[in-house]
Order: sequence, then C-alpha cells, then structure tokens
Amino acid sequence: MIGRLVHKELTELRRDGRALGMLAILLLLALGAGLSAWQQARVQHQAWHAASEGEHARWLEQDAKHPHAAAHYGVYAFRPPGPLAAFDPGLSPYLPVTVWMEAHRQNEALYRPAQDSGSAGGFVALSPAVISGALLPLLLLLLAAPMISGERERGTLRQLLAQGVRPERIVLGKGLALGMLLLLLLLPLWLLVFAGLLLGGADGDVLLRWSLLAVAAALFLGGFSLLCLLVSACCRQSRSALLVLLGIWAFGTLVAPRGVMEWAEARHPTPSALEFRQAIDAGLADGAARERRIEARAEALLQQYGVDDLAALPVNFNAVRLQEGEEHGNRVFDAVFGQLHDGYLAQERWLQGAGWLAPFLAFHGLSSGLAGSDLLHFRHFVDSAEAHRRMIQQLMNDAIYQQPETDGRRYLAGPELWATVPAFDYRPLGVGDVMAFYGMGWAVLLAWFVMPLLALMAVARRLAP
Amino acid sequence: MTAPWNRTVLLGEWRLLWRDPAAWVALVLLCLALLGALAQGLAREQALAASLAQWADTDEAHMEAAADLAQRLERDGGEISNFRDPRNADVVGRRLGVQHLALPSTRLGALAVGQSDLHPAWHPVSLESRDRLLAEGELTHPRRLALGRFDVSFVVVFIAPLLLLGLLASVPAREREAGMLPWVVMQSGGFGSWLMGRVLPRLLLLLIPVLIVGTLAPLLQMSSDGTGGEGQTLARGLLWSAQVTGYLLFWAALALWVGTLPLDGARSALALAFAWLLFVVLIPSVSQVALDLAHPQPSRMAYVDAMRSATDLARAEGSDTLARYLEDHPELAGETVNLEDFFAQRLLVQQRVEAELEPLSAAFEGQRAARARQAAWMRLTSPALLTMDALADAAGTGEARHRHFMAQVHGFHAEWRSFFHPRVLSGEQFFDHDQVPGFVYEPEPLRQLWPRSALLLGSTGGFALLFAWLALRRCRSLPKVIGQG
Repeated sequence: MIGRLVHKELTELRRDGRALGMLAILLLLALGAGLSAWQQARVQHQAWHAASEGEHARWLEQDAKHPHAAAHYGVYAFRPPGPLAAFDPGLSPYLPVTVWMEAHRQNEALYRPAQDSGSAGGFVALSPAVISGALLPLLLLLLAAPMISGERERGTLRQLLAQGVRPERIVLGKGLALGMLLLLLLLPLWLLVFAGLLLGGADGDVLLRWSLLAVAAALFLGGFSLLCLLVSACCRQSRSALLVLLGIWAFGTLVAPRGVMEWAEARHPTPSALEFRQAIDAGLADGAARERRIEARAEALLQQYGVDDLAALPVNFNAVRLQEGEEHGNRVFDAVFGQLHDGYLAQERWLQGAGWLAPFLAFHGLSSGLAGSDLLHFRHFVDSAEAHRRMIQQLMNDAIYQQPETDGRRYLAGPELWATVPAFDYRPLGVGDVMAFYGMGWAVLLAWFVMPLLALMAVARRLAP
Repeated sequence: MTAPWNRTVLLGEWRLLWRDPAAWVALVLLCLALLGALAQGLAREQALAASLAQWADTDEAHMEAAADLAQRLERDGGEISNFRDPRNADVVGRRLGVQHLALPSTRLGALAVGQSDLHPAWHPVSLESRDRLLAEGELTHPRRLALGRFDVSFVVVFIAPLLLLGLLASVPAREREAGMLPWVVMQSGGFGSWLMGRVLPRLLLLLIPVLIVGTLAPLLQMSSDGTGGEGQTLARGLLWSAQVTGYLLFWAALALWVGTLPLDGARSALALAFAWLLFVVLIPSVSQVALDLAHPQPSRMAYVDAMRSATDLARAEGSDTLARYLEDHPELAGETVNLEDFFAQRLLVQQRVEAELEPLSAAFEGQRAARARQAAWMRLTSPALLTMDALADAAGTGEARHRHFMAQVHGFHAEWRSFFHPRVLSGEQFFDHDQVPGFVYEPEPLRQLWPRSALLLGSTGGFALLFAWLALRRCRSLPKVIGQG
C-alpha cells in the first residue's frame, strides 16, 4: 500500500510541469552559483598560494640587517579559502584576507573582499549552500503545501479514508515521496562532489566535513518537509497552507536572522574601533610591571655573570628589553583581541541558539563552519598568525641576545637566521573542533527534524477529511 | 467611470477594510516592523554621532598634548625616543597628530544602513600611504555584514510588498470564484476603475505608515548635520518618499495585472508570491552571481604581494632615492638633510613605493570601477535592487555619497602631506602644531544627487507603468476576462 501511495505521489509530481520547471530553474541556479563560487575559491586559492610563497621568499632574501629590523620588516599572513568554500563561501566576503605580523604589535586583519565588491548589499548572496538552505525549502513548500490540503479540497482525501486507508499511511506515503524526490535531486550532486573531492586529493577531514554537511542538510530539509506536510495536514485549503508556509519561510529566512543578530549584539556587546584601540594603547602605555621585570632580569644576569655593568655582559641585554616588551604587549593583545573575538563568538553561539526561531541560521552557521568559512576558522587563522608572529619575535630576539654589541659594532644577521623562520603554514581547524563549537546548532537541527515529525504523527492519526 | 462613483467605491472599500481583520494584521505588522527598524536606526545614528565626536575630541587632545610636550621638551630639556618626539614632523604627521575625518550622517541616516556598514563613516589621515589608511575601519561582526541590518529600507523593500500582495491576492479572485464579478462590473463604471477602487485603499493603508516614518526620522534625528541644511533634508526626504511610493505602486500595479489574469484565488496568490520571490530574492541574487562571473573581484592578496615587492625594491635603493629627490629639490638640500636620515628616507621610500604601485592601483581601481558600472546596470533588472540603492542614496548612506567623501579624504591627505613633507625632509624641529591643516566636510551638492535619484526613480516608475499598462490592456478586454472567470 505504501509503495502505491509513494508511486502515486511521485507520478503526480512528475506530471506537474510547474514542479519540474522550478526544479530545472533551481538546478540552473545551483550550477551558476556553484560555478561562480568555485571560480572565486580557485582564484582566491591561486592568489593565496602566490602571495604566501612570495612573502616567504622575500623574508628569506632579506639583505644582511639587524634582526630587529627584520622583525619590523615583518611578514604578511594570508587567509586561505576554506576547504569547502566553493559550496559555502559563508562569511568569507566579510572576513579580512591578511594580517601583517611585525614587531611590537598584533595588527588587526586587513581588507574585507566585500569592500571591493561594488555591488548592492542587503540581498541574499547566492551560493550552493544558500540554495540548499533558502531556495530549496521554497521549492519544497510549493510542492508540499497542496499535498494533503489539496486532497482535502478536491474531496479525494475523504474517498481514500472511506476506502479504509489508514491516515498515517497516507501521510507517510506523501512524506516518503517528498524524501525520495529530495534524495533523487541531491544524492547525485553530493556523490559527484564527493568523487571530485576524492579525485582532487582531498584528505579525510574534508571528506568528513562534506559528509557531515550532507547530514546537516538532510536534517534541515527533512525537518522543513515535515513542517510543510504538517501545515498542509492542518489547513483546509492549499492556498492557506501555501501562505502560512511562505510566511514561515520569509520570517525564518529573511526577517528573523536580522532581528536575532541585533539581539545578539545587544546581549554580547563588543567594543567599537575607538574603544578597541584605546584599550590597546592604554595597556601598552602601562609599562610599570614590564620595567620591574626588566630590572629583575638585569639583576639576575649581572649576578650570574659576576659583572656590575650591563655593557659588560657576554649577552646583549637589549634583547631582554625587546622580549620583555613583546611579552608585555602579548598580554595586552591577548586581553583586548580576546575580548573582541570572544564577544563575536558569544554572538555566534547566541545565533545558533536562536536557530529555534530561524533554523536557517542554525543550518547556515553549521554549513559555513563545516566549509571553513566562518568566524571560528577566522579566529583560528588570526590566532595562528599571532603565534607565528610571536615565534618570529622570539627567534629574532634570541639571535640578538647571543650577540653582545661591543666596540660600537652593530650585529647584522644574514640568510642563516632568516632560514630559521619557517613559512607560515596555516592548517584549518580540525572537524572535531568545529563539531564541538556547533553543538547547539546540531541540537537545533535535530529538534527541528524531530518536533515536526512528532507533531505530524499526532496530527496524522486524527486526519480529518 | 465618473468621479462620484470612484468616491463611492473608495468609501465602500475603506469601510470593508476597516472590518477586515487581515488588513489590521498587515497594518499592525508593518507598523511594528517600521517602528522597530526606526528605533534601531536612531540608536545606531546616535552611537555613530557619539563615536565621531569621540574621534574628533581624541584627535584634538592628542595634538594639544603633542604641542605641550614639544614646548616642555624645548623649554626644560629631557630624553625622549626619536619615534615619540613631538618635535619631529614625521612623528606628528604619522602618529601623534593622526586626524580621523568624519562623514556626518544626513538627517535621514536612520532610515537606511546602505553601504555604511561596509564603508566606515570615518577615515584616518596621516603620512601613511593611502592604501594603509583605507584598510582601517570600524569593527563589525562579519555575520552582521553578511545578514544585513533590520532597517527601514529592509522593511520597505522586503516586508511591505509581501503584506501588500497578501492584501491584494484575493482581488478580484474572490468575486470571480463567487461568480459575482459580472454583477460587480455591471454595477460599476468599468472593470478597471472597480479594480483601482479595490487596490488603492489597500495601497494607501500600507504606504501612509511608511511615509509617516520617513517624515518622523529626520525630525527625531537631531544630531546629524551632514546634509548641508534644511533644503537638502527636505530634498532627500522627498526623494525617499517618492521612491517608496514608486516602489509600492509597482507592486500594486503588478497585483492589478495578476488580478486581471484568469486565475483562481490559489493560483493568483501563488503567482504574486512567485513575483515577490523573483524580484526580491532571485533576480538580485542571480545578478550578483552574473556579476561575479563576468567581472571577478580584484584580489587584494595579489595587490599586497605586489606592494611588498615594490617596497623591497624601493627600500633597497633608499639612499639613492633620497639623493635623487634632493637633486630634484635642491632647495630642501640644506645643511640639515642627512642622507642617512631615517625619517627622510622612509618618506621617500614610501613615495617611491606608491609611484611603483600606481599602475597596479590604477588597474585595481579600474577593475573595481568596471564591476561597479556593471552592478549599476544590473540594478535595472529589479525594482527591489533599484529601491534599495535609491533609499540608501536618499538617506546619504549609499556608495555615491561615500565616494564624494572619499574624494575629500584623498584631497585632505594630499594637503596633509604637502604640509608635512618639506618639514620632514628639512629635518628641522617641528613646532607648528597649531598650523596643521584642518578638515571641513563639504556636503554633496544636490545637483549631483538629482540625476542619480531621477534615474533610479524613473526606472522604478518604468516598472510600475509597465505593469499598470499590462493591467489596463487586460481590463479593456473586459468581456473576455469575465468570461474566463
């Protein structure tokens, strides 16, 4: 019986020219968006590769100079596109692409690509992820809204029930038909990309990310399909079902995310640029503790080497001053940058929690997280760059420390020192960290699937003709 | 069709609307959304004005502190690092005296965020290169930028049409389904005028609150003065109101046209919902994809890469660069200039880098400009795109006003450099803290705003006229319409 019901639904869907037309449009859109996102990710990857290699080569090819001059010359770290950025560019257009790592200062990351975009803001930016999360639900609601309410309007639901078909089976048949349609539409695309990733040499982490994306999409789209059937089962007219679902879609996709973001910002305020820079300047200016540490180090070294003048030390005390300055700065940067990024991530968690109101937010967050184009990955990049900057400073200061400047001669380092600094080789976060951060998002998606399912089961038992 | 009949129809419709719960729901939803968005906008503008004032105060305090310290050091003597010495023109021009130039909001700023989220309302100016200064900006959560703001423009462009279409979806499908349409039309002065009578009150019901909010915003936003006076505020307010009216007229005309098609209620509602999706979601998104494919964004990474190479080249020839500069400017080659002078060398190396980068910058800007031109054409594909741009433009948060501000920033940057460069190169001690140039923002003249707004408004009006004309054509074939019904 179920098989016949599913077959009947699929036949009706196949015969419905509008459904096929919309499906074709959606596939074309997905193709265009995928092509555009892939092209952008490819160009970004090439630019990232060239710029990163160029930067390291420039570091290695420096002339002979004092290590501190090299520390000031610095290195630019470039943010690579996320491993699945072609599927979901996520926040990439709004995340800065580079950080300048120099002595004394953790600089803010620079250049958001959206600033050079020159196009109108405020509209939905199309990508395969947005098509899955925003447009595919639209197609689903157009298809599913009349599934039960339409039968009721035409009187065929009464006929089916009169023939002794159990209402749960009718609903199950429609649900399975919708699920099979989704599967037929998405599974080949998913397999195609999976094969592409395998052939392209993607590692296990990327393949796992892609698989988890499929699970997230299945939960989100499955939940939305169930909600559509629930509304259709509750409405007497297909028009009412359609309008209710369109309202839910517009609210959840367009209105709620913006409203919830305002709420998250009010709940977890972050400093303005002025406050941020003032906090850094104030922290750096407060150097009493640093001076005390420098004095203590001086006394210890004088004792260790049994001399009474810093100039008589067999090591270069300037390096101690420089390194203490770095340590002092690092504490300030950890506090101020930490406060900013923690605030942003708290807002992100708040948004995930608000996925109860707008599951699109939960899906979008998870999708960009798994694609590596979210704020969590960006923070990891910034932290990695900062760790690299500190490592460079330490290496340069250690080299200065070993070279006491006597007789007015200034130490000039050469290629052998530059070669001790490895290239900035950024590795994105592991998928385990992503899963841990997005725990709430997963919970919301799971609930988003289970709750309509339970409600639909309850409604199906009392389905009125 | 006679005027008294129109009045009768309109009054009848008002009475019907008064008793229609759907109309009340739509009105309350719209008012809540508008008031929420306006409150957010006013709070944002207040915070922005406070932030700009704080920047100005901080800049002034820094310059005064630098002047005081310079006097004190000169008078009392004392040790200070070369890189913090306020008697050094380079240190003042590059660090201690940095000026943050402000783009004040217009009195309509609370109505639309526009591009102001992406392009900050202030820019620092110092001796640093233009690229380095432009990279600085306000700290904003990237997801905030990606999602967009819940502002009045969003309510107008996304929500108001949905509510309007919801009210118009059953016009005249309900009468057609009930078989009353021939009777209704026979009673009236014509199908078109009857339809207008049904559409107009519903349009006004939603348009009036939007226009009230548009009028309230400049009255409540007293802190801004970036428009250049009451005349500009009035002109911008009129443009904003005209654009909103044109946009909602477009949706009403579209609903009118769909209403004349031989569709039942469900199909009519579906067609209107699809039209909303098409114009508000699909076309803007697809046009963005088309833009990305046709004009890929220039890469900042490649730009930084090239900039670093040019910097290396210029640094390697630092002393030569200074020597060549002094050959060209012998008046500066006094006894105080030292070929090993760090500050002078740095300045000239920076100039050399900028000269090296000029072709790259020009290419980058050219690519950006070509993309922006293409994006401007793309706006013509949807009234939603046109309106979003037009509302931001009228509110003073669009690209064009920001470009006008940036031209002034670049001008002031040049002025700043021409003030400091000779002083840095001469190497003499600097005590002219009170003579450094000051910035006064020149509001964008109305003559630049009118043509842009006219184009956007005209294009939106064109869309409205197109659908009104289609609807009128259908109305003329009245017997056919009723017959199909």
